[in-house]
Amino acid sequence: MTPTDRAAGPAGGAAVLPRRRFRIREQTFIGYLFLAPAAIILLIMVGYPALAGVWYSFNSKMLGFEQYHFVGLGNYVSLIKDPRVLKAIGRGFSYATISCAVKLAIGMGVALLLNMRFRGRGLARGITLLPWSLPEIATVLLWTWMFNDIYGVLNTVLLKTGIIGSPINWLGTKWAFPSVILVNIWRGFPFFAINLLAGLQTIPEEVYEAASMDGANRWQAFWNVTLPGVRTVMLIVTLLSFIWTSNDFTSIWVLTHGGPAQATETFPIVTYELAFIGLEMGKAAAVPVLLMPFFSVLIVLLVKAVSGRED
Amino acid sequence: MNALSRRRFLRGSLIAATGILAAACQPKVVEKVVERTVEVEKVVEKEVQVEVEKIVTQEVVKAADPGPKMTVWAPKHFIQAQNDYFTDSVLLAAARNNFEAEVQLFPWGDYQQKQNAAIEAKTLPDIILGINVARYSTMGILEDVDDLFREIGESGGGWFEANEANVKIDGKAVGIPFHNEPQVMYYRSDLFSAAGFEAPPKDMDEFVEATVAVTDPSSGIYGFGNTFSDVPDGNNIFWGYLWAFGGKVQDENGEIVFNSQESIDALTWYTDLYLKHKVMPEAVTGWDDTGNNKAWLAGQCACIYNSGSILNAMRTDDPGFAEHVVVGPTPAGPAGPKTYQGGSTAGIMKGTKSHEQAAEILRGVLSPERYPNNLRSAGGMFYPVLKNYVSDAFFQEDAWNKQTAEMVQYAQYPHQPGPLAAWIDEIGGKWTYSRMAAKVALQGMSPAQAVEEAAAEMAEMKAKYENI
Repeated sequence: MTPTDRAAGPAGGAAVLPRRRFRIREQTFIGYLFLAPAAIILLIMVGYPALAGVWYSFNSKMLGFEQYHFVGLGNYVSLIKDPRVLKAIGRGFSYATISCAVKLAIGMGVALLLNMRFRGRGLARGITLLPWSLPEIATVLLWTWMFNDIYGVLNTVLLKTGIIGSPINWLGTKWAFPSVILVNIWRGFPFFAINLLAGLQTIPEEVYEAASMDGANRWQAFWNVTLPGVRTVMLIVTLLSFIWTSNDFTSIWVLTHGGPAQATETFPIVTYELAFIGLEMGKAAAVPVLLMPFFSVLIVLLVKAVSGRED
Repeated sequence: MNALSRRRFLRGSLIAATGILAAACQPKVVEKVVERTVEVEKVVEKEVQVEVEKIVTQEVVKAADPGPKMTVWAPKHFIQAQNDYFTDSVLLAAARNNFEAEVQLFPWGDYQQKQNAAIEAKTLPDIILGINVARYSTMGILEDVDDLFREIGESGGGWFEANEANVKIDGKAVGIPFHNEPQVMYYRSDLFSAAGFEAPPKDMDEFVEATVAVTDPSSGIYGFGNTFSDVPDGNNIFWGYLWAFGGKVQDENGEIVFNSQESIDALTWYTDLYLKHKVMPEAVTGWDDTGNNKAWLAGQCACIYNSGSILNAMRTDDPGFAEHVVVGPTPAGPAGPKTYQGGSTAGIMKGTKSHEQAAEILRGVLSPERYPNNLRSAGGMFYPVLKNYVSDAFFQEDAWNKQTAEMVQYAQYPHQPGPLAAWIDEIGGKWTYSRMAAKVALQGMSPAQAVEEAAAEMAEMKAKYENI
């Protein structure tokens, strides 16, 4: 007897429908029951802080003080009027845009190289992942040492090879922003490379053969076969990386604290300073809420891209 | 290989669980042995020599109930011997009073933020060394320690007036001073005398003349070096210049008076060292807090601003180099020589597991038995807050320590001459001065406008606390 037979019972026909409906409801209930712990944890760990953040953003909440009052859009108005905050938002998006563009280009190049057959390919793939897999604090501290103007390895090599005549002030006013972007690119390109490599491996060899038989050269094959083949992966990793990079705090904080003269100050740095140095929790909470619409659009695009890939 | 049956798995789990339960139900171990070895600097015939002196503290404590475990937060300093000695003092005080304690050390850089996060999360330890007295008092998170303050003061010959003023609010002490750390100028006497100047220079004009004479970019030597970055050295250096020119952030009544000609003059003088006189290396714009230390030890700068930590490094790593070093306050301006009084203050936090045990820890740390050695273990970085210990041979017989100890007479606290105020603590945290100087030196803003903007920021900081 199959489960359906047992559900139908001896009465057959008319009795089947209500009992089946009940059974579906029961299964659904059990399904929800299994999902409940995860949903509760999500609500506590994600939902509560997010709602608390939104609530704080409408209040004059100061860190360490119990009393606070409702200020409506006061915090938002204050942020929008503050040129330092606006510059930090612009700088944050520039940081993410430039970084992601370069990471995508380098990642694609490295993925194409790693997709070729050569001796030691497995080792090369492993080494490529290193910058991304090592602890961020440790690697960024290494970069501070490499950037040092007196004994840093970058200046030493560039001076000794005659590429530069005098030491570059890597973390000084002119170079600080490109330097923090450089560190982010170095840390982030392996993520692009490995994901694009995975995408490249899903393109059947036969498609390239067919393109070749049609007379396509390497560039045409890349443009018409490879790129369309990894387009969705490119979109997903770029969107993900853009969201992470614009929220990057650790590397900038360790390298420059947002200085000198706010040259590397992005919105996560401003948020941190408002909250943990200026104690202005309300205003600090308003920064991410202010940017929420933009990131929501990115997340919708990301979800669509992922869903499209699954389909 | 035999597969693990469900029955065997369950039996094994039951045995393991019973074992864990039995272990958890064991009576607490009440016998505790504290045994540590600490390196302490010892004064020997006018020369400071680093000797390894084994201080072995062995206390066997037997108690029925050790009570709650006390937690102490403290900054982690560059000098490990000091960190160890302080930790030992806390553990010893706890052991002698039949309770347990732990010390957690945090790097200075993000210590303040760590404390702020704990304040909001209500996960504060029992004692914090390195509190912001005014701010925490306004928050209402400090215990009243007036009696303890008086008691420890009497045991050490009394507190220095500035230290007393720095912890008293409405006549009551809310913190216990721990150490003074005057920030001083270090001069390479060999380089200055080769250029025909005596170090330290008498006043600000002579400072400029001497540093210009010493500067020789072709050989990589600069007269002075200090960062404009958002780090303590970048920010705190301006206090000395501000006071030397007669400026201040607030008057006796607590009104903000920063936007003044004195402040503009001080900022102009300071930024001119970089822009006009070019006595600072270009790289100072990107230095972190250790940039001046590294440049100094590499022989790149003839003068830097620092605490005693660098003195310790010179003595340990390059005693020959240290022979050509003299220290002094900020060069004298119209209001005389001045310097910023660094240091730390301890507070017992509201909600402590035991006020009495916390008090025992602070009594022990600042006791005549432990405190002098704690100062010595810092190798010239820490100076006493209690009058009895200034006459210690360590501060009187060593040339550099003596010079640095003399700087205390020029030292001021940021709130002076006004009352302690929570908003003034934010000047350090928000890098108000380093950003103000950077706007002039790196972005071309006029000193008057930079001072005006800084004053406006101070007004916002103050208003924030008034509107709570």
